[in-house]
Amino acid sequence: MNRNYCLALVFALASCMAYQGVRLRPAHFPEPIMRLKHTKLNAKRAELGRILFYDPILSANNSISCASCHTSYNAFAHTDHRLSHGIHDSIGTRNAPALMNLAWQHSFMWDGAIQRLDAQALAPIESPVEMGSKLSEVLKKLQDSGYYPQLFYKAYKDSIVSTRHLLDALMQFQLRLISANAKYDSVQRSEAVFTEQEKKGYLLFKKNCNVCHTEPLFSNFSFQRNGLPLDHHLKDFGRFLTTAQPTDSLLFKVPSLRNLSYSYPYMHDGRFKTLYQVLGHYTKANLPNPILLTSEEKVNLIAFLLTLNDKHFIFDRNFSYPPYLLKNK
Amino acid sequence: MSPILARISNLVLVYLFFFIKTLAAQEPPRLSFELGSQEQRITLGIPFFSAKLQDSVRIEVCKFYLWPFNKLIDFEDSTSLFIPIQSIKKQHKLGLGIDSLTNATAQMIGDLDPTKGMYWTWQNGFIHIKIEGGIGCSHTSKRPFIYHIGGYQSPNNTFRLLSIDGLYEAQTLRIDADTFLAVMVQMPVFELMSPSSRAVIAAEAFRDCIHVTK
Ligand code: HEC
Ligand code: HEC
Repeated sequence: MNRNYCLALVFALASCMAYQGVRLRPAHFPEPIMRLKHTKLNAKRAELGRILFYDPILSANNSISCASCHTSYNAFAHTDHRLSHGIHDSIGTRNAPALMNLAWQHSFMWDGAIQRLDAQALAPIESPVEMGSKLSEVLKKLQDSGYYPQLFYKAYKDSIVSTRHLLDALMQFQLRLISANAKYDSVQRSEAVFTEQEKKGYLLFKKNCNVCHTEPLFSNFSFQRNGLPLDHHLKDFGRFLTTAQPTDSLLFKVPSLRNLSYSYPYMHDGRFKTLYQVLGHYTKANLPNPILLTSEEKVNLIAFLLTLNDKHFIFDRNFSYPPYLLKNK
Repeated sequence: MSPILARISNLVLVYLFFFIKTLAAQEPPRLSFELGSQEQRITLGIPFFSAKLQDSVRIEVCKFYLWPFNKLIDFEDSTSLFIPIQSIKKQHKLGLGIDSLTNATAQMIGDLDPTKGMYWTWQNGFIHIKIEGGIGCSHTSKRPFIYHIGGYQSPNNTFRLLSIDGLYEAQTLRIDADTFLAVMVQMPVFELMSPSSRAVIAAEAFRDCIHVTK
């Protein structure tokens, strides 16, 4: 074989692998929990997943899509609403979390009720206060639509819209929602430097927050109590609701602190609108390791937290409303 | 038709008959499931008198997963009530429900498709066993029961192995609904919809009420 051709082939293969590497694991991230083996990332499937994610056809009356509550400009959280806002103006009991770096999480929802990202989609689809539909109805609607059988065929070589492929496609799209291009990440890659203020904030962060909000994902995804008092109206006991273990009462999954400027309001019930309110809570909270911050330190800490905003992720055209839907609706 | 042709066609018919008969006879021996109340066989949807509860009872839904086949045994679907012995011999053990690894990783196809109604969408996990019905003869005193038994995380893992001897013969396993319900009414629990310690007791009661018919 021609030597140049060989070289070109090796180069192509290497860049292909690097591309997947970037896609799935940024260099300064740990190995994801969901391995590539289990979740063969495939562009056509992810694109189908994206279309499904933005299509209100998944709800009973075609009014609510996943993106209604998980908007790309809000790091796939929902800013207007403290609590999630679903079909027929139903109000849920929790704040829609940002969706990003999901391949690094071993459980989903604020209380970890769900262990499989693919099956997660069944929860909103069938929840009477979210999309209010039934899986079998959704499958039928997709099958009867003019365009989905074709899209499923393109992605899976099967024009029958099945549960497995529906869930897989949605998962494939969501696995691509990787946020690893904030200023913090550039600093990690030695492409940028923190300002003095950000540096001070980083030290405060490592001292006070990193135990739970562990870098580089800014969460260790464990279940913790961060001192928030129970909301007596919502009576949300967090992880206790899933495990029924008294020791799990009021524990919630530690959320990532990436993209906070886009994903407000904060906490499982969206009780805080600003980061100042959040820090106000932490410095007053009754925690085993109390957090003490002067007002200057609060400013510095927030300066650091803002370096976790990832504009590239928020405005990534691959994640926004799919042009296909515009053409076909 | 000429007499010869008629005779040939008769022969063909007779041949076909025997052919089909041998085919049927060659059907492999299988393990089957039936619904009962103590020693008596009962039918889904038809009331029976429960000796233990001293009342009339009607079972409307009874279905469960048989491990390790991930097969749904559903009394509403009479074709689902059998397993060829051959496949059991390779397994040594049978279980009720879906084990935790399968729960976390299985592809949702066939009997594991959540459209079968055996999946908790809001907190993810297969329902191992579903039994629904009512106790009481009159409509006014009717007490409905709904048991959705599941959960795959400790301490409320409700997956259970079946403790049955001589699994390798063609035989019938009876689910003694009377004995199961007696345990549930004793607790008393009439509704189970999520993993809990009571669901663990229910899973064990269900396992213990399965026995080989004589
Ligand atoms: C009505 C608003 C609403 C809709 C519609 C909705 N979600 Fe959510 N989503 C939420 C809320 C609220 C939570 C947190 C629920 C909880 O903790 O119990 C959540 C949680 C999630 C999570 C878990 C994230 C984590 O970090 O734990 C994923 C993944 C997710 N949603 C994906 C989807 C998909 C896919 C769809 C469409 C099929 C969808 N959502 C539709 C409101 C919504
Ligand atoms: C003991 C573990 C722990 C420590 C230490 C901790 N947090 Fe948290 N944090 C949590 C948990 C758990 C939640 C979610 C609580 C809830 O919603 O009920 C949370 C939520 C948050 C949120 C809301 C994020 C969102 O998307 O809603 C912010 C912001 C936050 N923490 C910032 C900080 C900062 C800054 C520090 C350090 C000063 C800190 N946390 C220290 C456990 C911790």
